[in-house]
Amino acid sequence: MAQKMVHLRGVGVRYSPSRYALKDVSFDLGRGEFAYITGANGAGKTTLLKILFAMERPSEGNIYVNSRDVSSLPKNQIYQYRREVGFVFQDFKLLPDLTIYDNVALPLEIRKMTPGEVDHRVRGVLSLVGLADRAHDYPQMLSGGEQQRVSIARSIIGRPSLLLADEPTGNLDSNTARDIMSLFLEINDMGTTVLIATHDEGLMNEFPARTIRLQSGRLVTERGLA
Amino acid sequence: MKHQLRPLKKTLKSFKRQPLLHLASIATISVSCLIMGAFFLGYRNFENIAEKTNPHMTGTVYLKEGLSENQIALLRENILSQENVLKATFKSKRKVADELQVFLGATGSEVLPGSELFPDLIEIELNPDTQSQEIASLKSVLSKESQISEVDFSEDWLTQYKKVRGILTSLGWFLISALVIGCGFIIANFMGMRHQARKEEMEIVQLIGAETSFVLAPFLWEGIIEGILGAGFSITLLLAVKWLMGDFLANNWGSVLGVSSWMFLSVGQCLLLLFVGITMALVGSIAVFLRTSEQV
Repeated sequence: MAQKMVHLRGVGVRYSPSRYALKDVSFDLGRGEFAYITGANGAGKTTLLKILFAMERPSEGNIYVNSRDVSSLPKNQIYQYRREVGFVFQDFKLLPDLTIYDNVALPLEIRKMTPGEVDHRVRGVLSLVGLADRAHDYPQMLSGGEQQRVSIARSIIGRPSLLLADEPTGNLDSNTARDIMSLFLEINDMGTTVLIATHDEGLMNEFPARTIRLQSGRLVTERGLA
Repeated sequence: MKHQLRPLKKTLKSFKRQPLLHLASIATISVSCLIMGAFFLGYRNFENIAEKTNPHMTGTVYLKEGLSENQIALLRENILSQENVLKATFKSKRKVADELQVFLGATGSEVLPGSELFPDLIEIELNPDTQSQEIASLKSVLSKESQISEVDFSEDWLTQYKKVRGILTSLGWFLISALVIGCGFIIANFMGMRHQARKEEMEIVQLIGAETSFVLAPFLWEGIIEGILGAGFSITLLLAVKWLMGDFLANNWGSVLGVSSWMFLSVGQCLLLLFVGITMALVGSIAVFLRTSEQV
């Protein structure tokens, strides 16, 4: 398991004895791997990402991320775990009262880093996502694609070993979506394991990678295994 | 330094963003502190007036007619030798009449009708800690003296005074407890509304790895700032009222009550009001803190 970033065995999320969001899902994700989770609406993509990010707890099965048992993570250690994993939301989840710079700097402020280091890292990450010149703008002054770039910048500034993204291109036009996917690949090239939930077949074909397909909460097929 | 100031900055931002909710909390604290401050003010002035009108525990020994100076001196010595007696001052009937004349505002040349009927007397001042039983015992001893016609102590007044003081003290504690708890809950509701308004923001911050304390620190700052502002406003208002009422008291009640101005709250009472104001707001903050901790 040393080389595995994500290790899931028999994971299930049940809301009642007959109603479940995930059932007996097992797969591994290697370090530095790039993969998609796909499936129709309600297939369980978001639930899977949520349990990987400790936003929900599985009813059954084991989940290890970076050798850490996430399924039984104590409540008071969740914040620490979330500092090791980045999450990109479909709706960006930026704070409207903070500038782009401050939004991106927030995870480092939470970690109580020195202002010098924060500044160095924020400028670096903003350059990576191509928004260095928009640092002092507010989120509402940016387009959807730019806001998603800010969201990605915020999720990687803490240098996470795993980056999760829930429909990151769902609200974007196709050209912007392509740019965002290229950005994810660039991040992956730097060594970060990336797992993206999407149902955009076109993008998955354009940027081929291992694909984990869910249907009604069950893992049905895997394509392009690493 | 930036990290330490962040909760404070967020608090100030919150004041700008939701001024009405903050004003409602501050007003609640102000009204509570005002009620409490007015009570303290009344209590302090009651004590002051009580002090001025009867500063010590006193008694009066009325003497029989026709005592010689030697007998009076011996009697005075006897009274002074009794336990708890600090002072014994002889006053002739003439002096008593003169003092009464001055108190009633009559001129020196007039003779008070019936003043010849006043007895000579010895005024006694007792140790302020003298208990009722000790006064009764002293009264009994002195009444047996053949030169004394009557002994009168201010024990009834003192008993009443102590009773009123006791009631006021209990009332004060009850008022403080009730206001702190009641206002704490009202403020908790206002804070709860602010918490709802910022729920999304708090969720986002938690999702990027913030500890609960990082998320909720601004609420504690809000409590402290609201408490200081609310209590400070009420103290200022009480000071203004005291200043405006000063002349009215001096002109209308000064001679009756024996005081020429209101006393304001002591520094200790002002600090207590500030403490109570902050406590009220913090009760609200902590209630939100606990509620949120359960949800995280």
